[in-house]
Amino acid sequence: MNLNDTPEEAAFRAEARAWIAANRYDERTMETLKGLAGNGAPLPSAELWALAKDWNARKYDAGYAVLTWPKAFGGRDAPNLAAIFAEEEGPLARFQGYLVITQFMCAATLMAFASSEQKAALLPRIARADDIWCQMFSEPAAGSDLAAVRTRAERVEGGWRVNGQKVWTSGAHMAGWGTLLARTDPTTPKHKGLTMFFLRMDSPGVRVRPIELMSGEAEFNEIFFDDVFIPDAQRLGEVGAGWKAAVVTLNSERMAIGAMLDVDSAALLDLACETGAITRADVRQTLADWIIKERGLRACVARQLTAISEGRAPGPEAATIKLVGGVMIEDMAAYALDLIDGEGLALRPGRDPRRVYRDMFYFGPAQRAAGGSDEVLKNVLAERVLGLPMEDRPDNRLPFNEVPTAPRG
Amino acid sequence: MRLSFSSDHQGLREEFEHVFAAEATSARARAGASSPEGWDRALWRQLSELGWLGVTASEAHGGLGQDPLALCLIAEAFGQRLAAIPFLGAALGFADALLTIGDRSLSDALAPGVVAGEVIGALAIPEHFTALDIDDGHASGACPALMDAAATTHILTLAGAGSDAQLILLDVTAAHRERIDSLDRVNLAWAVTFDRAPSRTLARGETASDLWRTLRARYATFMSFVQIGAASAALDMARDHVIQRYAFGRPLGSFQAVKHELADVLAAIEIARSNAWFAAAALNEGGSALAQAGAAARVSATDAHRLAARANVHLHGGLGVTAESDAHLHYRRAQALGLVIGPSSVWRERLIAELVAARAVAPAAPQLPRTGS
Repeated sequence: MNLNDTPEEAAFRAEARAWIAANRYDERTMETLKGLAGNGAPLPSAELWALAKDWNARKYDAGYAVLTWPKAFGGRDAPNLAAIFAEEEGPLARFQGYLVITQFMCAATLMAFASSEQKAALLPRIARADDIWCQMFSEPAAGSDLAAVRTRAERVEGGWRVNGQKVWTSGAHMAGWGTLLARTDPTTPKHKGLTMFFLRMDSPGVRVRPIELMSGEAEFNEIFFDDVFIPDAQRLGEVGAGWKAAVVTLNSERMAIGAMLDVDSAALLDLACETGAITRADVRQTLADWIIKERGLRACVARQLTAISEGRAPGPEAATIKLVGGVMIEDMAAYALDLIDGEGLALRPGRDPRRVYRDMFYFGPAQRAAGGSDEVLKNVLAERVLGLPMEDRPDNRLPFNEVPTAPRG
Repeated sequence: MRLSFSSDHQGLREEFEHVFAAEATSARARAGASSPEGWDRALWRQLSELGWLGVTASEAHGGLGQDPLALCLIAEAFGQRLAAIPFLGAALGFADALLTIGDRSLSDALAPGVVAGEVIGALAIPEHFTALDIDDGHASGACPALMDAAATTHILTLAGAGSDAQLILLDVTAAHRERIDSLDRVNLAWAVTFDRAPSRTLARGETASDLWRTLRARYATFMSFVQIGAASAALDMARDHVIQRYAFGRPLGSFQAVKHELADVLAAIEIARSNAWFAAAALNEGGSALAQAGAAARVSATDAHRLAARANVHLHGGLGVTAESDAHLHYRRAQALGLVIGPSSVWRERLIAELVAARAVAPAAPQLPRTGS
């Protein structure tokens, strides 16, 4: 139990601070990044992706990328050092959000299931973010009910032929590669008929279409597969063991959770001080509540990192952080827009720093749905932590192709 | 930052639980509170004989000589059970204050009594006094509602403000105390009045106020562990009920409406636990981080405890509002513990005032750029 760095951590912090100071971007870019919440984009998306890749490449070349990775794959197996580096990065740490799927989720799945040749070829490029990966899981009829994916992979000579559609795939428009969860056997119960693959996104028959969101940005995509061929060597895990592989992917997200905590009550306090609202008792009470909650979230991240670094399995921390943090983004954004008052209705065109609360306002609902909706997380907490019984569900025992679906109109 | 308790700390907690869980049943708590004395003196004696009233007291004073982190976990284990003993004020607040004040003669005089369970102290916030007049080593006054005061022998409080502030220790052994209609039915509140009780001034002026703030934040931290323990107990009780109770042909706990209510409770407890662990680390390190950390721990533990206690009553249905069920004991206790050292609104205001003041001295970086100028 200590709030301060160990001597080893303090030395690393000093080294990281010096390196970041020498390698950070010009003031204009840094100012822009301070206002960058979630996927909210004061810069064009392509420019931000390029910066995220560039910053990661600088880190990689200096030995500071993928610090949480196992040593065998070029990491340092040190989530505590990664957390320290992120603290020192300040606004630059936001870039990690662009690389979470590539460097945590897809990488973890490859580490667990790819051949050693594949790992040797692919992982260093992932660590440097030379390659961006996407994770093709959700479908129009498989969101929270992820195991209901219908994208079909059928055996053909030397591999598999894939047809179907994925949706809400973050970063697919930037990705060179992706992992794919597909149905290989529709005649067994849903979790048993799935298999995990990976493929190049420029494979013939793959079409990526960005989806414009309410914020105007388009970081999510839908993907169509039309007779796409995947060699059997690009299968990850056994045939029919795709759910197990998907769980590896989803669990790896917890390693990155600290990098995705997009709540900043200190900025809101600044806003309240600037607008003068801080003299109001109700504002002080509300802000105090958020500050307390944010402190709780950050300490929760620290508890989780400590558990991981001590080789213990973390408890309910990850689900708690996502559940509490997601709602908080929506609440804080709405509250901040109210505090800005008239300007909340119409911000100045261009780079108004207060746009950050607009972006939070648009991003909050996505955050509450993505990577485990609030409802799914509550089921996880209730069933796996509290031990409450599962609901009676027909889909777990029926063959997938006999599970009731919405009538086709 | 590392937030975890060592296996030694956890082992000590288990040792305490082993004794306490067997003794501190709700039937015994009810019996103790409704006895003529109004509390469970036998359990108190039992804990004292095993050293649990002096977890952090030095071995020379008869204590266990443990660090405050150990006391945090003992506090949590205490919170998990209902017990009609003044553990909160005496073994947490007052015992810790004696050590923190750092007055050798004071602790030599009182700590052995604390460990023996004969000196039963309480920290009372100034707001709890309707009158307090100090005159030449004596004090007269009244606390209309002081929790666990059946056998309180000493009260530590801050009197006055600014340069007139005094940290005072009152000997209320001879005070008049009257049982009142207490919100908490296990840890009863008493009206305490005292006339020319011996009073000792331990510090004056800014020194007194600073010391009081530290004592209060430390007490808030220990109390947040009690509240988290109590919240977990209420959550466990609710969980056990909804697993065994059937409705509409299936366990109540298989309905998502029920699951989600309990998941929200669990999440609130985890946020509170995280704040409490951070505050424990700050307390243990003794730096300035404790002021904010203690306030945060206090507010989120109160929130979590109350949420858990309300959900527990609600999910027990009609049973939950009966006198027979223990649900109301948790419900009452959650409300009462949230008041013992001042309501959450006061702690929130303290936190925000400190942040705003710090911001005025040194503008927080990175600052949000201004518009229009």
